[in-house]
Amino acid sequence: VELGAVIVVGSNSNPSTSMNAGERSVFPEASATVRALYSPRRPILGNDAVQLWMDRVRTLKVAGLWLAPDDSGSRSFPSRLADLIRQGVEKLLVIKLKSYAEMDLSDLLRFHCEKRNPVTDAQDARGSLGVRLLNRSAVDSIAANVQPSCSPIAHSATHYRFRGYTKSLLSSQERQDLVRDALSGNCALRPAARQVQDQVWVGEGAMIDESVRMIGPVFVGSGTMVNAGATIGPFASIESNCIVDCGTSVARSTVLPHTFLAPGLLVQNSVVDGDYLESLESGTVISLAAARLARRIRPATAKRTLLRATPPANSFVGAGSEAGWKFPATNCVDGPLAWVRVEL
Amino acid sequence: VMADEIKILRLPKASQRAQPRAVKKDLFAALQAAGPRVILDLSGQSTLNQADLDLVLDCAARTAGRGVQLSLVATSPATRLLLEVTRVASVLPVFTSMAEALAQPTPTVDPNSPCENPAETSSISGASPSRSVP
Repeated sequence: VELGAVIVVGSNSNPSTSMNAGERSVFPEASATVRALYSPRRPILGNDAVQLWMDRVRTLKVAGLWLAPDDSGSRSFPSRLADLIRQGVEKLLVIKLKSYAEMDLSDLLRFHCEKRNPVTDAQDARGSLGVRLLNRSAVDSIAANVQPSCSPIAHSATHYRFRGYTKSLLSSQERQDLVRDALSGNCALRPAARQVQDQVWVGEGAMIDESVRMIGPVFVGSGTMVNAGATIGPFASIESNCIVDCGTSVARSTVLPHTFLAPGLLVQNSVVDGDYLESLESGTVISLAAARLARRIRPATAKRTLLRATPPANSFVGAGSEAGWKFPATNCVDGPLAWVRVEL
Repeated sequence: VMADEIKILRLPKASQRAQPRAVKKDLFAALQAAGPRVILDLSGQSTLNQADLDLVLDCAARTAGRGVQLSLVATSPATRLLLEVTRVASVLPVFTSMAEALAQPTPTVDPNSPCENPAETSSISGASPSRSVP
């Protein structure tokens, strides 16, 4: 069986495409920055959700793997799928990036072959996980009806009930639940960093002042600087290239990449992205910009700040820092503008 | 606004503050003459900027040590969240409505006490919403 796979990747630069109708109705007037809080491409403990799905796809013997822009509702998407069929692909695995699921894709494939239905949709108790298997006939049918509503996401399907671990990447609360579970070892996801102490993971080039209180489980991403007197944890994830200034506490929260947090703050049960903070308890989203409490920092800004700073003696410096404050290119790039074939 | 021993001070909306210095001066003068309990009403604020937070902290600093209990009324969830993030809410009581704030009993003040709660005073000074970002 010639199997192909397509991962439909949302873009950070066009986050509205990654929001469902419910989320759009919550923040109809919200800026793109606020909506970006919901982008499934935001890293999770240094992991890229696309990469995680690609790793799962690689366990199958696929003839080709493509990353596609998030235009699955457009007319061009079915015709691109039909192109793949014309290239000899018999079955297509289409993954719309909306969830983290510890799914055995070979079991999904086996189920699909057994049921002999043109379309199989993987679902958990709450609905579709955005993972579908399509036969050639289903793709031909979709391509013939070039209405956007006939995209694979809308096509009727046999349901493959997945009972394993899943979390929605479109919900800030579920993303934080995933962070908590990964830090606690309650799911298969692991922090993409070196474990330096029990329940403490620190990424390459991160710098943490010796006075910082780390309450595990906690993750500090690559290139991040945590200044004196800060308290990080428990269940905190500071992603890459952030600065947490003196005395600030971050607990049960995620700070997304390239965020500066001013001194003396108390961040609890929240997600912070640049100058926006979302409370996971109330769902309230606020801008911290007017009060100058946080802001987005460009990688160059963070690098300059780190280069100016003299590492205090006894400070913990993450692995790789000896090579000179490395800032590895983020693996969480924007989604592709066009279809991209991935080398297997 | 006076309600028995309670003085209620309303912080005008940022857009209505043509002369912020005059507002600050008036607010501090009212605080000076206040009784044992002052409620700073932030219900006109949908959010707080750096100047607003500075003003709240200044008010806290001026009432601390004088046996005056300062509390805040913030009806906006965004304002309350900002007060939590800046730790103001951990040193000053924050109420979601004026009725809730007025329902709280007025504290008994010991006139000989030099400072009602020195620890809280220092915590307010330690909060740093006015610190600039790089």
